[in-house]
Parts: sequence; structure tokens; C-alpha cells
Amino acid sequence: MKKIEAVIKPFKLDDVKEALSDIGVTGMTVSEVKGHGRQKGHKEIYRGAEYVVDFIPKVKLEIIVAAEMVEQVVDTICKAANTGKIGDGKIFVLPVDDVIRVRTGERGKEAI
Amino acid sequence: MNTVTKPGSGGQGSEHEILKYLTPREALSTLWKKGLKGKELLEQHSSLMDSFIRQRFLDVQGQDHGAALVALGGYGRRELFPFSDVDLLLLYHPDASYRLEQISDAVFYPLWDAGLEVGHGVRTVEQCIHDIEKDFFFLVSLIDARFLCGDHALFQELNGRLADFFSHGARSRFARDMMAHREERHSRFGDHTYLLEPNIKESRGGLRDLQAMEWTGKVLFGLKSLNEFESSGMLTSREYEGLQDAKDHLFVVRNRLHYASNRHNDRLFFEYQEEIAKALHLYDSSGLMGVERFMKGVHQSLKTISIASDIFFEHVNEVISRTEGRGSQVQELSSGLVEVQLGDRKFLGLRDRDLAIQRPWMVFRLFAEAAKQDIPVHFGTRRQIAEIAQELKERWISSRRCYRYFLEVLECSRSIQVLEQMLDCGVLTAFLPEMEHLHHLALHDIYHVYTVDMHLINTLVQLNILMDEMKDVSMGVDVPAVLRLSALLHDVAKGTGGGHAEKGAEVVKGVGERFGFTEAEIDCLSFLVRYHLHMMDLATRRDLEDEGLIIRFARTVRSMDKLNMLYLLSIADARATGPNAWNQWKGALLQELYLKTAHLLEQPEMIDPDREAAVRWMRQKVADRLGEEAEAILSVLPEDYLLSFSPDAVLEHLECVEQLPSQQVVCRPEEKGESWSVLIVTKDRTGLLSKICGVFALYGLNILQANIFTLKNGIAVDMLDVSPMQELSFSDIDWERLCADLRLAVTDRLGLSHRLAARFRSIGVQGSKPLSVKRPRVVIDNSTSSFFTIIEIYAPDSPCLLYSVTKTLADFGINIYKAKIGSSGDQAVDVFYVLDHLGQRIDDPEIEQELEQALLYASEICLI
Repeated sequence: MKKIEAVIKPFKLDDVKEALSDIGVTGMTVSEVKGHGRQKGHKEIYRGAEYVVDFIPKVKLEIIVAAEMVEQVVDTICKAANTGKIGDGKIFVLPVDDVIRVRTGERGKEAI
Repeated sequence: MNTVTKPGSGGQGSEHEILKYLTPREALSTLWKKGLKGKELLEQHSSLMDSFIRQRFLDVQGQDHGAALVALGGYGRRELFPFSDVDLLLLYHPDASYRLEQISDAVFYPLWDAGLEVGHGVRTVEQCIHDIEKDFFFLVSLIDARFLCGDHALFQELNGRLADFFSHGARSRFARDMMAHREERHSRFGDHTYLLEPNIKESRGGLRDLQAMEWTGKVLFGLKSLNEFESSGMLTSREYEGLQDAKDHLFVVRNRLHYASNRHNDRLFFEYQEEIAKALHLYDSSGLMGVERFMKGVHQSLKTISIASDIFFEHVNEVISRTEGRGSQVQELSSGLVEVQLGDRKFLGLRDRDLAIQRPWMVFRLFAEAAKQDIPVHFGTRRQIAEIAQELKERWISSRRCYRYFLEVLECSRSIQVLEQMLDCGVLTAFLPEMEHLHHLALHDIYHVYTVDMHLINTLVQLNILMDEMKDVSMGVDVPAVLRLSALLHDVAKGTGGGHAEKGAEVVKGVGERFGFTEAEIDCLSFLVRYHLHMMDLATRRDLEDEGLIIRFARTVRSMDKLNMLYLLSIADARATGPNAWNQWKGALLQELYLKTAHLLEQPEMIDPDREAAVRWMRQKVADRLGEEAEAILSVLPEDYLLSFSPDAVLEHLECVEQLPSQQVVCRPEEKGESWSVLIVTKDRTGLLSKICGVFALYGLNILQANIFTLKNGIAVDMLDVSPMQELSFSDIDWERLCADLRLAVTDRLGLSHRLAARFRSIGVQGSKPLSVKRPRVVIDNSTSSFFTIIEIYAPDSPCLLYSVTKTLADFGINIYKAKIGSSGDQAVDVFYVLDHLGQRIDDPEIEQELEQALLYASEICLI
């Protein structure tokens, strides 16, 4: 089993969720995060005043999948979240030791 | 088997005989399933418990002397809930201590064995009196003491000593302690989470508040039951009935909750809410879920108790202050209003209730003053107003002055205090009947922690605070009263089934009319309600780097005034929703949308209705010819592109796009009278324009004018007006070879630099330099557009200028998205809309400077 963490642009969340749902992945954790990278924060000069935001709002998705699904899920996220412009985000794949369902106590793949 | 049961055990004949074999709790469960509920269930439970305990006591204690069993607290009040603790006191005479162990064993162990939580105090009367000095909660439990069995004289003795205790000045202290504990309990159970999932015993307005009232009433005023509260005038009939209903309702709910949780739980968690709603036959209908109907009733009961206990304790506070010699001081203010000073607290009130009946608008004047000074209205006045609210309703609605004063309340409220009091007195819902159905309404989600009525009040308050904090935005609001009213009414259509923004926009029109707003103001009010979710929606769920999106939004708001109002309303709404609805993350996105839109609104041509109409016309014309795929194709065509060409031209371009896979570059030269135009369609890439310029220069063609566009799918569409540097005719130019070379150049297979150098050397000197040649000027502008860096180049025109300049841009990895190339007289004016290789604007001062120098050099070397 693997954990997939994807940091994407906020407005791409719906597209990614839909694309994942289409391949059968419906469970995930979503959080609002602040990004820092080559993409610069928003800077606007308006009426002589400079407005700078030094972080970039991003959304982080965390999904647990069976190892054999990783490639497909990563591919799906990439395609759905891609705009071609800087700031599209990154995906990380991490190993998972175990997954347990609290309600029933099931472990492993059944609990995903 | 000892089958004698003492009188008063609530027998039901043979059924009771069977039931006595079960534990009281099991017996209760049987009765519950048979449909017994509410207060009856509690009393039955007490009776069963009484029998159970008395039996055990009598089994060991033959005679009545020296020991007694007393029920305390809830059990003493005969309010024994299914999983309540059983609070018992084993009262004994010091001489009878040798029998205690026997009695405790006989009574307490069976109860513990039955799984009950038992309060098992064992004390002499003396010990009780000693303990009540230090243990407030023990004192309180004694107030509900009820004799169960044993030595009645001993119990009388306890009562006598208790009465003595209170008669010696302990009453005031008791009341003060009660109030202090109540405050502390409210803050402990006042967190947001308790709004969503109330603890119906400990939360504000819960059963504890009611009990606090009853205990204090008993100790201070000798009132033995709620009934006596009414007969003594402490409560009006209306208040008494409301309180009784609330109590009964919460009893029913608490019973069900205990059974649903299968343990002593008083917290209405979400899953229990749904379960109990179903059990009480509350189903989804007309826009409200069953569970929402249920919780509406719960919140109503909680509110009723909360209001009544607040009024009661304010009254108590005044009474004991008076007995302590620190009575309230009443000062008459201007005609009819009074100020009440109690200790360090101030209240505002009406002189008398007749005043309100003669001049109904005085009530609104009172609230306006209270809001201005941020002091609460006195409980006596609140109570009077609540009694006559329905009676005065019509006269308020038709009074011009009331609207005036109401707007003052809206303007001055920096805390929810006054508006909440208006709500609790029934004034708000009487004056704005549109809000009636929102009273106590909690929507079933974890996001909105307040009931809708309180959320709206909170939004208005947050708005006022924001307007103070964000002066540069709030100063750009023409009619703040409209904004404030929109804050108070934006969710008015919630709970009516779907689309509350749209529906609400219609509903508020009527309200606006009643307030005497102008037509423009009513439109504005309606607009704000209709779009109150829109801005946050765009900011968090749409691509803010899409210029088209910002343009569309700018056209929706149309003016800075509306943009400012919507911005403030969006933030206020979020802040008033719950702890998770507003944060820096959302703030950053919303601000970005605000600034980009504000920027755009500064260019009036963008929101010019004529321009809008022109775009729409173009889109329609193009769509007509495209058929099914129209939507998809139109979405990649930028607006200014559409405005620059005829529908036929656009279709020609699209046709070229289709040929790209096989052709790579589509090049269509055309002779149009005096001028030659060349259309080039190809996939955009860094340096494309410089390559095009280079190839044309190679073929001796001057680019007089050009319109450069990049479609959103990355295709470049360039329309060039060219003319020969030397006297040549259209057919003299080998267009096919030019196109072929163009193809080579674009695919990096043509060396332009050495060819151009050779060519220009062979041409030789262009002619004598004009005496007054203007120096080239380069402007790098990052403030005009939110989406691109704009580079303007002013330089004397020359054949290689364009190539030189665009090559320099390419060297910096800069991509050109739009360009307008032309000249004014002798001077070339070239404007490029660019982004760097990462797709970001070029606003690093060092790079800007480097770029400027490079471009100046590029322009100057062309001045041979």
C-alpha cells in the first residue's frame, strides 16, 4: 500500500476529485496549505500601493491506494491538475505500513 | 418473599408485581417501549427506584429509629432520567452508627450491582450542615431533598437546620454563588462545538439553567415549583407556558438521548440528532430536513430557557443588590428613556410600557440608543416589549421612524448584544417578518455553527468591524445602509429548498421598498444577496490567472462601489459562519480576485457595454458556423482577438489551425490593394516572433503593422501588414520559398543571424541619419495589467528593429502573448505583452534593468 500526497492548485480540486472518482478512488483527505516555490506569491500594484502575498494557496490531497494502483492514480492526478503553467504542483508517493478501519477493525487492503 | 410495598410507590397493579423483579432501569425500559414518555417516564422511574430502595432498606432496618434514606438532586425532584445518577443520602443519628454498615450494604450494593451510578453520602445532620458551608453542589442537592424511608423526624431536623442556615443571610450568598457557577458553566460549554451539538443539560439554556432558576427561586423567594413562579408574578403566563413547554420538550429529548446513547450522555451528537428526529416522526419536507426541524425545536427550547433564566437572574441580581444596600439607580433621560445603573453595569430602558403602546417607535429609539452606547436593555423593559411585540407589529412596520432608528441600530452595532436582544424580544422578527422562519433554524452541516438568525446578526456585526478595519475599501462604498441591510438579510431564503441566493435576491426587494430605498438602491440590495456567495466561489474554485474570468466578473459587478460591497460582504459572511470558514488562505485568494478586478475596472473600456455586446455578437456569429464544437473552440479564443477580426477571418484562422498537424506553419499572404497582409498560424514557442521577423527581413519585407495573438491552446495567430523595402510587386516575392524558410526557421533549421548580417551588409547604408533622431525608449510596465508584463519600445523605425528586439526577448526566454506593432510617423511603436519562461511576470528589478539595457542596445544598433 502506498500513500499519495498531491499538492495542486486550488481551482483544480474539483477536476481532480472527479477524475479520481472515475477510476474508483473516492476516499481522500483534503487540506488547505500554503505553498512556497518558484512560483511567486501574488503581487499587485493598485493605486500606487503594492499588495504582496508571500505564500501561494494550494490544496493538498492525501490518498491511500494499493501498490498496483499507484501509477494509474498518479497519472490521473497529473492529467487533471495540469495547466502547463508554473505552480501546477507536485505528487509524492510514500510507503504505508498499515491501514486500519476504526469502525470494524479491518486491516490492510480491505481497510482502504 | 416480602411483597409489601410502601404507599406512594406508584403501583400499577399486577403489572407492577412483575416489574418489581427487574431492576428499575430494566423496568423503565419496558415502560418506555410501551410508549411512556417525558415527565411521566421520569416520575415512573423515580417510583420504581423508590420501591426498589425502600424494599432493601426495610429488609434490614426493622424499625424507623436513627436512620433515614433521603433522595437528593434530580432523584429528589423525581426527575430520574434513564441513565441518571441516583443521588442518595443516608442520614443517621450519631447513636445509630453501628447499624450503618448493614444499611449501606443492603441498599448501595444492589444498586451498584444493577450498574447504576449512586451518590452514596452518609452523614449526620450536623455533618450535613457543616459540609454545606464548603460544598456548594452538596448544598444545592439538599434543596431538592425528599424523604424516602426511615426516621422521618431526622429528616425534619435536617430541613429545620437548612431553613435556619438560609435565614441567616446565606440567601444572597447562595444566589451569588449560583450566578457565578452559571457564568462559569456557560463559558465552559459555550464553545462553537456546543452550538452544533448542544449539551442539553449544561449548555446555555439547558436543563441546568432551568434548575438554577428553580433552586434560586426556592431559596430566595420560597417558590416551590415553576407553577408558583407564575402565581407569584415572577413569570407572566406567556413566559410560564413557554418555559413549561421547553422543559417538557427537553425532557422528552433527554430521555431519547439517554436511550439512543445507551449511557449517561447529554450531548446531542449529530448521529443522535438524526436518530431522534426519525423517532419523533420529523421528516424532510418543504426545504427542511427532518433533523433540521428537530433541531429547530431544540434550539427554540434552549433559547426559551436561556432568555427566561437571563431575565430571572438579572432580576435576582437587582433584588439582592438592593438588600445589600447597593440598589440600582434610575435616571430619566430624554422623554421616555431611562438609564439604570447597577454597580458597574448600565442598562437602558423605557420609562413604562404605556409609552411603547402610545408611541411604538420609542421601542426602536431605545434599541438605537442602546446600540450607539453599546449598553444592554434592562430586563424589565425587555420583558414588557416581548409581551406586546405582536400587538405593535403592524404599527412598527408602517412607521417611517422605526426604519430610521433600525438603520441606526445596524450602523452602530459592534457587538451582537442589542440585535440579539431585539431578536429575543420578538422585535426583529415582527419588524422583518421575512426573518421569522429563520428563528432557531440550524442547518445540518458542520460548517455553519450558528443558527441562521444568529449568523445573520453576526454577519452584520462583523461587517461593521471590517468597515472600520478596511477603510480604503469601505470608503469606496456609496450607500453603506444598503450593504448593512444585505448583511442582515443575505440568507433570508435559507431553509426554503435550494437556490437561496437567487430566491433571497427576490425577497429582499420587498424589504428594500419598505425601507424607502430608491430603485437603484433596491437593485443593489438584490444584487448583493444574489451574488453573496459568488466572489468566494470564484476565488477558491476558479483559475484567477484566466483573464477572461476576471473580465466576466468585472462585468458582473460593473463598478468599484459594488465590488467593494461584495468584497466586504464576502469576508463578513465567512467570518460569521464558523471558525473554519475564514482564514489567511481564503483571504489571500479573495484579495487577489479583488485587486485584479479593481484593476480591470480602472479600464472603462473593459466593462463598456458596447464592447461586451460586440464580443457577444462575435461569439454568436462564430458559434453559428461551428456547430457542435462551438463551446470548446470559443473557450480558447481571447476577447481582444475576437474583437480584432471579422467572423470570416476567425473561421479562416480556425481552418488554418486544423491544417497544422501536417503543415507545422500555415502562411497565407494576400494582396489587398496597396498593402500586403500575411496570416501566419503556428504553434507558439519562445522566439517565434523573432524568427518571423527575421525571415521577413531576409526577404526584404518591412513589417508595418502587426497584430499578434496567442490562443489559449498555445496556437499563435499573427496578422502582419508588410511592404517591400525596395520597389517590388506582390508577385515578385517568392512567397512559397518564404513560407518554406519560415517553416525551417520555426523548426530551428535556419540560421538567421548570419544570413541577415550578410543581407544588410549588401544593402549598405540606409541613407543619412536624420539630424534630430529621437533616442530609443523602453518602458517595462508591471502595473497596468495583472496578467502580463507590458514592454513598450519607442525607437526610430528600421528594417531590422523588430528582428533585433524580438531576438533579444527570445534570448531572455521571454514569451510574447500579444503584440501590437506599428509606427507613428518615423517612430516605431511596439507593444509586447509578455511573461517569462515560467509563465510569470518580469518584476525582478535587476532583470528588468538588464532587459531594458539589452532592448535599448538592440534598438540602437539598428541605427546605422
